[in-house]
Amino acid sequence: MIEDVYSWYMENGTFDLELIKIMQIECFNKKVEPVKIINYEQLHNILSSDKRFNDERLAYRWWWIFDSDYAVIDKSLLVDIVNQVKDIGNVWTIAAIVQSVTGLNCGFVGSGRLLKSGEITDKEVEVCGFLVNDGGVTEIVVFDENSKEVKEGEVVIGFAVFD
Amino acid sequence: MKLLSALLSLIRKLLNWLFHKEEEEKPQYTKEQFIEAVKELSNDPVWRARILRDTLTKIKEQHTFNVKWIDKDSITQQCMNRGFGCGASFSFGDGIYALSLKDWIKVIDSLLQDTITYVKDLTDCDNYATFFKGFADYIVGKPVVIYTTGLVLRPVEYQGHKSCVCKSDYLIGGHGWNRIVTNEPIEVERVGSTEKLHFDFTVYNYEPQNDKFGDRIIGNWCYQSGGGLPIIYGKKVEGGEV
Repeated sequence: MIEDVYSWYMENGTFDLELIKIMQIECFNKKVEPVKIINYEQLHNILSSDKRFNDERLAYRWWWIFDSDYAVIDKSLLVDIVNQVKDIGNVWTIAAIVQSVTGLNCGFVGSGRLLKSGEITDKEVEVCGFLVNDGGVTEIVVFDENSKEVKEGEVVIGFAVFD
Repeated sequence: MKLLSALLSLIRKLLNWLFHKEEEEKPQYTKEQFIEAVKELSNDPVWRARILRDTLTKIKEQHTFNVKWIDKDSITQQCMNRGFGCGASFSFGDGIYALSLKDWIKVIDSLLQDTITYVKDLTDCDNYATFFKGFADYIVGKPVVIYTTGLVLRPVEYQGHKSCVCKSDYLIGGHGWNRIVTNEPIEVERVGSTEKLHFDFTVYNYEPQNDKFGDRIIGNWCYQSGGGLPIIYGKKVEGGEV
């Protein structure tokens, strides 16, 4: 089984720069077909109807939407990918891995505040998120730095960069 | 007593034989077999995520980095006086950690985000900037990469040198890239005076699409933050400095 070869070598093998580069090359430039592509106006509409992004109690709310088109990823695939990296503890790394191994610009990185009993707390939280298709509905799944999914009513996002 | 001793000796011999045999039977795999496994497994995007995570972890385990926290105001002061900007930026975060130039070269040499194929919108400048920040921050274990957006302009010839002018005539367009900070000292002349400013760190623009880094001009582009676009720094990590 090739999985056994992989696991054995990860545990016992040696890793020089050449091998580290080969491993990266094999991870990049292999594409996943997006469920669909949405344009920046459609993305803007999704953000406007998502309470995590449009809570009016925030002092600032900035979304930077850098591209004219964005890819939507299948939700179950995204969850499987995030499960591989959930112990990383860094929203930039999670977003970078998801996007580089799929070739899809489906993600964002941002920052917000946690909500408790509907009230905004002082607790700042870094988040990343992804545009997903869940049973035909396009929505945004948001994760905190511990890869825990944060839903509406749990966080408000002050800024987000959609790359 | 003699019988018990003989029995124990026999058991020991039997165990040794069994363990030895088990060791002999344990599979051993070569680097070539591992590469073949990676090639096959990486056809699955979920495996690709695991392999990339494991690769970054191996790089992280192979290095120890000495880091120094630099606050955002000091970085901004240096960037302003070195002409790194055209107009206002929004910034988030409090600062970034500096590494030695030697360590930065190690990090850059070990990462291959520059081999990813450029595809307009889907994998373009802002994505490369995210890749490099995501990978390098994880390897070092601290925020070390500044995610920078702004403008790129054509340099102009001035007294035999390439120079950058914040004028729309020279504008190429909006751009996303990175800035990194080393712990080398630098002396900068304050804009509009002959006063020297001393900094115990140096800011570089870094282009994650081709691994080139430098002053405000890299290749044939002036890298200028501004245009009301964001610069994203990091947060200080408790117990972070070495």
